[in-house]
Amino acid sequence: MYSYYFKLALLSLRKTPLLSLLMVTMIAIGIGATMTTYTVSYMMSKDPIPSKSAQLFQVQLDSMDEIYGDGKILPYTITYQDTQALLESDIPKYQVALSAIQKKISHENNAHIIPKSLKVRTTTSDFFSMFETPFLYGSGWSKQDGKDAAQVAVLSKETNNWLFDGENSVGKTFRFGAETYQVIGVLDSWNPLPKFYGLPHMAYTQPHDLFIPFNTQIKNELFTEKLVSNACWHESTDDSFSAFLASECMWIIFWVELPDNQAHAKEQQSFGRFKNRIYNKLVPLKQYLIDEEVVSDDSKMAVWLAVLFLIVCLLNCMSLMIAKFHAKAGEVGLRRAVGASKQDIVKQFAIELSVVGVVGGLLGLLFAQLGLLAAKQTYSYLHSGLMQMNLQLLIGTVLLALISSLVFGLYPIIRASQMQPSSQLKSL
Amino acid sequence: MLKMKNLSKAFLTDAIKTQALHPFDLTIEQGEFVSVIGPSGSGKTTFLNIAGLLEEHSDGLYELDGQDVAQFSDKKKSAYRNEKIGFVFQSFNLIPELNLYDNIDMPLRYRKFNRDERHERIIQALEQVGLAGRKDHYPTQLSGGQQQRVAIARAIAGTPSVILADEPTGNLDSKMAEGIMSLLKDINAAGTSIIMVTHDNEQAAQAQRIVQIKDGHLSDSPNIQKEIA
Repeated sequence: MYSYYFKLALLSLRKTPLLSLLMVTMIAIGIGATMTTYTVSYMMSKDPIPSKSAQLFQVQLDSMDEIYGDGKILPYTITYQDTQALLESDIPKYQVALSAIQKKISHENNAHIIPKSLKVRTTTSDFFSMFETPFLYGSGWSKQDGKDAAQVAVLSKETNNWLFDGENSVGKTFRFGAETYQVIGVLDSWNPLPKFYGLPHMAYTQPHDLFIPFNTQIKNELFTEKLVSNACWHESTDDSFSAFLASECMWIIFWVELPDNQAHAKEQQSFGRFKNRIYNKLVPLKQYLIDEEVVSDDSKMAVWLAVLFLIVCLLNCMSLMIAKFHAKAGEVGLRRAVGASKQDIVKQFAIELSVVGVVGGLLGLLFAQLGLLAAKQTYSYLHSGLMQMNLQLLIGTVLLALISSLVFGLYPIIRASQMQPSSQLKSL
Repeated sequence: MLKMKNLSKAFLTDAIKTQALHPFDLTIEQGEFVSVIGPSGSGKTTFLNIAGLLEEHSDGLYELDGQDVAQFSDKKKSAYRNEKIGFVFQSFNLIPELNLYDNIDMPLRYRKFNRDERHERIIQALEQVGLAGRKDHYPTQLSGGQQQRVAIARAIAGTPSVILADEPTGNLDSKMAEGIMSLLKDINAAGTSIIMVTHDNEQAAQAQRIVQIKDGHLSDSPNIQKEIA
């Protein structure tokens, strides 16, 4: 019977092509606008590491004195001294200190490869295990390499493509400023969205180009002010790098992975130098994303506006549906006379609206893709993953169109099915 | 086959009650051909709609093929209508975007016959009305008389107990009307009851029995037959 209704739906849509086109376009525009904004917002707020987001915590320490710190809102960076103390702890399964520098990178002997100034993530050896980075070749550096401040690096896939033409470059060397570094691993594509582990305001920028041990940065006294969030509430004693390290400047992000989140409550106070302070915090990853407003209110507001726009489109569509079904009163009367129940009429028109909804959804999907393409070109500095629909979103788009057209079509359909058949039989 | 006892119909609009049909009794046996005559607005169509389960009666009893239809749900009433009643309308009521085959198929679809049975019944009905070769034509390609034949084919394809015809020749010239009347008589001769509403006394006289409705009063006396004759 449903194939019969489907055939009737196609016939009916063909009978009034302009009306059908208007309905489909109306749904498509609303769906397109909604899904464009929703995709960006959804991809922003996705759990970047679902397998272990409950076990990852950011360490926030109340290291400021009473004059500077209010004790409640803590900075998300910590000092070098605290970092050293935390790295000593054997409580967490993994612990990672993070910073970033910018450095000129070049090939050792191929002059055709023009040197580039790249963003370098400096971190500790646990980084790769903790954040489950996929490796194309090799692996991360060992704990010992980390301690020894070895001049080794893990390249991103893109950097390896640029510098070594995508070959297995493990063991090869390259110029890191004036120094020589050895490739120890090459990552496969790895673009967690949002880039939760770094600075919140850079959560949607492209990932860093290579990774080197944190201690190597320290040993070589490398520092790039613009790539870190450096808050100094107490002046360094002098301008030297060692004085900076010993200062109260907070510039390092610190993450820990704890096997379960109950154990940490008591152990929390054993972190850091300030055991007597109670505000030292381990902030769960998801809470951190909320606290730092990684998903901005603007993007949520845009989604709501787009949803309102969709509702306006659907209301317009609803009035067209009422007109369409009203024009079919004669047919409804006839079908009722020859044996169709009210239920049969509801089914017939629901299938017709489903066809409109699905076609509108597919066209809306196309509009949304165009919208995302335009957004990608306008915001080229943002992570391209933000403007890409995953499978759930693709299916969700069509489903949203289908369900919303049925919800808004419910009234016109029920109205049509309730028509007194005898009053319509003279009007066919 | 059809039994109405003390049946009446009143419409209520803005607290004004209009008595469309005053209480009446009527029994029609299987195989009868009954004409219903009366001036416009007298209640003929209301009677036909009640008989066809398209409208509810206000009071009294209506039994069709031994079943009290007042108790039926919409679904059951629709199924019963589909099985027991065939409709023929003055303006044919064919769906223009469906060809003849699909127009006749419509009631059979709701009967949930399988494809083969539907096909057999459609072809047989088309043969019976003399349009066997035109199943793929569309209603607009036919004359008025031919369209009414298709409507009759649609009505008989489900082999109903009764055909309710509302002015079936009202839109046709006399020659076409004659053809339709003779077709209805043939169908009646094969055992299907026919209740036909008409303005035309000459056609009414061709029925075995005549019922008159005047100002909502239905009379079923043998005198009417004589008057018309």
